[in-house]
Amino acid sequence: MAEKNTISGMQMGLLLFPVIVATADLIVPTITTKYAGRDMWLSPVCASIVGFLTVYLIFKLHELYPRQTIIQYSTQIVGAIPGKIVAFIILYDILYTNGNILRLYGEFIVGSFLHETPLVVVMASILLLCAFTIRAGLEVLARAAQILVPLLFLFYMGVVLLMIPFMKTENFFPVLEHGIIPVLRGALTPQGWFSEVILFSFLAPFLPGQAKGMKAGFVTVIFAAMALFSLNLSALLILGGEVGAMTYPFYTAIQMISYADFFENFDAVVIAIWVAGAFVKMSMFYYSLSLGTAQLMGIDDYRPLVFPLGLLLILFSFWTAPDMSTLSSNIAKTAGFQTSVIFSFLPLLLYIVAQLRMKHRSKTGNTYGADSKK
Amino acid sequence: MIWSAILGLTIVVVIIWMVDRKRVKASTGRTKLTFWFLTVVGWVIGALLFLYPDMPGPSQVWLFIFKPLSNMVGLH
Repeated sequence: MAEKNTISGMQMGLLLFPVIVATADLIVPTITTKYAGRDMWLSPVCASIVGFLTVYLIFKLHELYPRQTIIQYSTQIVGAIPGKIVAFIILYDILYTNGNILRLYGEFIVGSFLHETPLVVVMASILLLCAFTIRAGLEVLARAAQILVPLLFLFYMGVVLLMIPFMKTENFFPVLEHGIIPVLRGALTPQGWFSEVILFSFLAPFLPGQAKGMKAGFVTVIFAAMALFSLNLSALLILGGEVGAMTYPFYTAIQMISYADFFENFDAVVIAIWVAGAFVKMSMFYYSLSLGTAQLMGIDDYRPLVFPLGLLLILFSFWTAPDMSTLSSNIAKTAGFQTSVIFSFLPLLLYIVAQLRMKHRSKTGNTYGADSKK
Repeated sequence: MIWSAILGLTIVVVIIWMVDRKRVKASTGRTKLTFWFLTVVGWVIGALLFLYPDMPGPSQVWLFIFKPLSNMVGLH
C-alpha cells in the first residue's frame, strides 16, 4: 500500500466524533420528537447501543485481519465475487450517505446564512476543500481534526451551559408518559448515525498498536451519545413541545440565549464552528470512499480518484431529494434501517462467517488459521 | 439553458482530467480504467439530471426497500 501514514488512537476518536454528531444535531431532535415526544432525550442513549456493537465488530474483524480495511477482508471472508459485492454495497452507501450529508450542509448554510448564494456553490466549495485535504493524506486530516474537534466540543459545552438559565423544567415532565416503546421508536433513526462508526474500519489499519483501537472507539461512542443527549435535552427544555415543528431545533434554541440584551446572536458563532465539524465529517466519509474505491479496484494510490468521486458526490447530493423537507422525511423514513443494515448488519454477518471459518480451519487441522487468530 | 449546463459539466470534467492528467497517464491500466469509468459515469448522471431533473434515484430504491420495514415498526 502507498499509505505509510500512522495516526494515534486519540486522533482516530477525534475524527469519528463529528462523524456521529455533526449533522445529527441538525435534524435528529425533530425526528426523535416526532416519535418519542417528550422523552426524546433518551433516544440517542438507546441508539448508541448500535454504535458500541459496530465498534466491537469492526475492531474484532481488524484483529482477525490486521492491517486491512473492510473492503479488503470482505473478499477473504466470503470469497472473491460475493466479497466484492459486499464491498461495493458498503461503498455505494457511503457515497449515498455523503451525498445526503453534503445536501444537509448546503441547505442549512443557504437557509440560515447565505440566502442568495446558489446551493451548488456552497456545496462545491466545501467539497473542494475536503478534496484538497484528503489528497494531502490522512495525517493532514487527522491533524485538522485534532485542532478543530476539541474547539467544536468546547463551544458546544459552553453554549449548553449558557442555555441553562433559559431552560424550563416543566417541559421535562412527565417522564416516560407513554412507556418505553415510543423512546425505542425514536431511537431507530439516530441509530443510523451511530452505525456510521464503520468508518473506523478505514482508520484502524493506520494505528500503530492494535489494543488501543477498540477503547478509543468506545470512548468516541460514549462522548457522541453524551453530546447528542445534551443537545436533545437542551432543545427540549428550552423549546418544549415546539421541537417537533422546527427544522433545526438546536439552533433555534441557541437563538434564545440573551444576556443583558447585548450578549446574544450566539448562533452565528456556533454555526461557524459547526462548519468545521461538518468539514471533518464530510472529509472522513470522502476519504473512506476514495480509499475504499481504490482498494476495491486494487489500485495503490487513491489520489487520482478523489476528484471524479467528488463530481459523483455533488450529483448524488442533488439527486437524493428535490428539497429540504423531502430530504428530511426520506432520512426519517429510511436512514435508520438503511445505514444500520449496511453499516452494522453486514459487518455482523462478516464477523460470523469469519468466526465459522476460523473454527472450520482449526478443526481440519490447518493450523495457519488457528495461529493467526492468536 | 440545459445545453449550457451540460457544457459546464463537460468543462468540469475537462478540468478534473487536466488536474490529474500526469498522474493518470503515468499510472497503470487499472487506475486509468477506474478514473475514466467514474468520470464518464459522473458526466452521464449529470447530463441525465439536467435533462430529467425528477429522474428517480437512489433514494427511491432505499424507500422501496426500507419503507415496508419502517411502516412495520410504526415510523411513517
